[in-house]
Amino acid sequence: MTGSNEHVLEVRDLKMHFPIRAGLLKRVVGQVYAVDGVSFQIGPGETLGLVGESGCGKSTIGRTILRLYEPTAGSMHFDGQDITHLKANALKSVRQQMQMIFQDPFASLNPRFRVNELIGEAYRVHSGDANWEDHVASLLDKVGLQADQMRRYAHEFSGGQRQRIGIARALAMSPRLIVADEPVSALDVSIQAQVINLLDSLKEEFGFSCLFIAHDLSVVEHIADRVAVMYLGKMAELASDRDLYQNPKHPYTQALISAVPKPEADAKRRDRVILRGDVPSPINPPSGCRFHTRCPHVQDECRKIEPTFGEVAPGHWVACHMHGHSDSGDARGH
Amino acid sequence: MRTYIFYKLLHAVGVAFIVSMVSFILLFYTADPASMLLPETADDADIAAFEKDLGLDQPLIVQYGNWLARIVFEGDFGNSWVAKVPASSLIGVALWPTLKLALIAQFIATIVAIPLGMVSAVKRYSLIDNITTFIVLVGQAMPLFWLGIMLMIVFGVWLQWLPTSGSETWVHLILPAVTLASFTLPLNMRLVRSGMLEVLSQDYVRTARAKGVPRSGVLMKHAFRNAAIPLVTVTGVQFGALLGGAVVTETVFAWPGLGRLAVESIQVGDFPVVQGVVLILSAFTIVANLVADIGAAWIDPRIRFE
Amino acid sequence: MNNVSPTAPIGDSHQDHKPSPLSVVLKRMWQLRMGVFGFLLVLLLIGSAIFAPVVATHDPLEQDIISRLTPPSFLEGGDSTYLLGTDQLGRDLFSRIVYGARISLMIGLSAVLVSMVIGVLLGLAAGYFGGKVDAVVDFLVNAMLAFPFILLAMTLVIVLGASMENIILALGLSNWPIFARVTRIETMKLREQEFVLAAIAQGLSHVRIVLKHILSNLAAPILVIATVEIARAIIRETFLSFLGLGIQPPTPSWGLMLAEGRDYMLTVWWLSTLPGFAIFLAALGINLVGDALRDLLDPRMRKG
Repeated sequence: MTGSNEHVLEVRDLKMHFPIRAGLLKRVVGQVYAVDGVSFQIGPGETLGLVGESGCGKSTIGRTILRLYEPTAGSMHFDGQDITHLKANALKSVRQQMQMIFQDPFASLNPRFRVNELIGEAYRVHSGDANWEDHVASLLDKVGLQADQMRRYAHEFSGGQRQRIGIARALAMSPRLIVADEPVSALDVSIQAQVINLLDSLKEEFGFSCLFIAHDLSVVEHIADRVAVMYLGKMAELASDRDLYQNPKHPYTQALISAVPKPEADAKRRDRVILRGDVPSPINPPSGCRFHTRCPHVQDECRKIEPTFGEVAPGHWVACHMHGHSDSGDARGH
Repeated sequence: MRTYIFYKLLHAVGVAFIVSMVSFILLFYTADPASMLLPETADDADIAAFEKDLGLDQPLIVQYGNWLARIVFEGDFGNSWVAKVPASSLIGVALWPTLKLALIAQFIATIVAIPLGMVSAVKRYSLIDNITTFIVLVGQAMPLFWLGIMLMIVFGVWLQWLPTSGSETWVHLILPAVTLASFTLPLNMRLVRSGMLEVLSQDYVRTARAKGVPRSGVLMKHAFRNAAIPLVTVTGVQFGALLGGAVVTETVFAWPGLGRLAVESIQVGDFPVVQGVVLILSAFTIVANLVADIGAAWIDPRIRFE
Repeated sequence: MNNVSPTAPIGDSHQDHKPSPLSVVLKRMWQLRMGVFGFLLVLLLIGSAIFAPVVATHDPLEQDIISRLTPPSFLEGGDSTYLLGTDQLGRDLFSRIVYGARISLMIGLSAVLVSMVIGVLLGLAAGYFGGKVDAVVDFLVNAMLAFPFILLAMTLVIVLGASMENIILALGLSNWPIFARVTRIETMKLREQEFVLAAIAQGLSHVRIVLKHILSNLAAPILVIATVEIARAIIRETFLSFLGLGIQPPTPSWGLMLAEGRDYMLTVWWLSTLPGFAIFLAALGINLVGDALRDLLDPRMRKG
């Protein structure tokens, strides 16, 4: 989407490689190519879903955006400001604008802190507001918990409730962008829907942009405006919610969608696309198109040349040799 | 595995260096051989000449180097300031009694700890388990030399069964060895017991039992080997503590080992001997740690790749 | 409390029938009865130390040569004025033991404090910052652990001279590696926890993260270790005194009393045995309390 210039987040050709050290002197013997050239933007109030298997780099992207890591290459712009290598004080102030919701509701909350501290610590430190507990109370209310619970400890709550606390914490400083790193993966299915609905309504109310990371396409379907699919450190496909689900172009996306169980009795019997083989390691990715080892439509070209990530239809981007980037939108051709 | 061993060796040598440096510096700053060995009437010129003779006017690094070289290549720790004989001879004489004591004590501790620990893990809350728990609690709070004195009083004075000092026959070894063994026994028992408990609660053990493998078979094959790993590691580390306990035990029982030598030398300020003992004891501790680390890595291959 | 059904009103985590608070406390105390016993011993120790002037029957330094080597009152030849008998200079053993508690406690607590401060600071730095700092600290820790502790403490006392402050210093400086090692490992584990990442992502300063987030989670394991180390420090001090390298006479130190009594062991056995028994009880009590603490603090964290 080439939309407005006022992107909240713009990521260009982002790479995040982690060195592997071994031996006596801890020499670098290899790299984990966790994220290997990814580009996308998120507009104001927009939710971008980011889906992929374990190890595809989606969590790494989330953390890199928040500068929990420093990118190996590429650039990230937040509200127009280059945050790729920002340091210290400047980074501190930007950090208040971007927040994260973590996957594990048990490990992401300090067991020694009470709920009010958990939610309001950063707010209190950064704003110096003497009535910070009032702010915490209103946040608790917004996420569906009772404000009089705030002096309790995190372990007194259930998983779903703890995740709500995590959401309240993310909202405390009214950020422009929230990165939700698999926020419902650790919850029971019945709770998942509750939390997703909560996020959805909060999004409406607070107006933040959201990068919603998940490993399951069905989870993001409801909440995302656009969805991106990642495979082994690279982006395979990016399209609007509807386009992706109704007209997936990348074979990997098609396989993912076909795997989603559909309970309707009259659902079209789409053939299950079953992928062969295992996911290759991000330390030693395959040549050419990374997906070629498992692709049911693999050609010679796919083994040698890496496909570029291009726009094959308005707002619909794919990295696949089967889909040319000509303006005619012809699905064949090189 | 080889890289692991090499890295550990390097580490051990480094530690040995630090220990030797600290020993040397302590000696250097506290000792004043001139005032100890020269008559009071010596004037400054005499002192200067004396010091030059002993090489004490050289820079610190050079003295350290000489000292270290003499020890490593010639086994010369200098002369005892008190006994006027080479320190190494005093140390050499005292070495074997200490080793004997430590090894026997550790042996006793181990052969008592293993069966007791295993039984108490298997039969929880039984009499054996309660006894074991009691021994662990009491043993860890027991001041070593009080136990030694009490044993001396009970077995040596009241019952007159065992001799209380000297080291001529193996009978003399009993009291000191038992005393020292009590130092490491509680920890060993706890380790065996908790190691066994952890293994026994593992799913694969329960599976084996469910399949009908008899209890003894399961125990001996799987449980013990896994429980043995922490024991091996700790035995090596404990050796250092054991040597410390030996210092106490030898003092109480007048056992002619390194510990008693060290204590007496410290009390009279005979520094070359103290240094030598410290170095030897540290060397043993370092080697014991090294062996334990390598042994543990050999038993449990996962350790090699951390 | 983690079994709340999704349809329960949010925040309602009480069970239907709450047992009375008193019976809950009593039940807990029975489960931890060893710890309670230890706690009583420790209270006895602290009480003796604080209220020594009130509890003791005599001045511990007062000599009464005529009554020297009187047996304890419960033995033949004993005298009820001297509850536990007198030592070779006619000083009342009971009073000396009571006053000895002061010395032991003071030294034990102070020495552990010194070790703890040094060890925890180094361990935090090593665990949190990793890299070179960690390598240096780790190496130092291993090097110091290779020294036989007793010899190190003894040598330090010789070098510095035998006084109460120096003993505390010697014991404290010899024992910090234990605290450093544990702190380092726990810090490294905590650093990877997501709540630390969350704190970083919220723009909180490193200082704040280390002091508030990490340290608050370290308090439990450090406390458990500290209690055990207090008992060990007390025992070590008594050994130093036993060797004449600790507290100097005539101050009543349990170790000194053991040493002085050794010469009379054959006949006047109580001079050595009773102070030793006091040491044992003190160490036992502290260890039991430490064990109970560990049980108390661990499961609660795991439940969450």
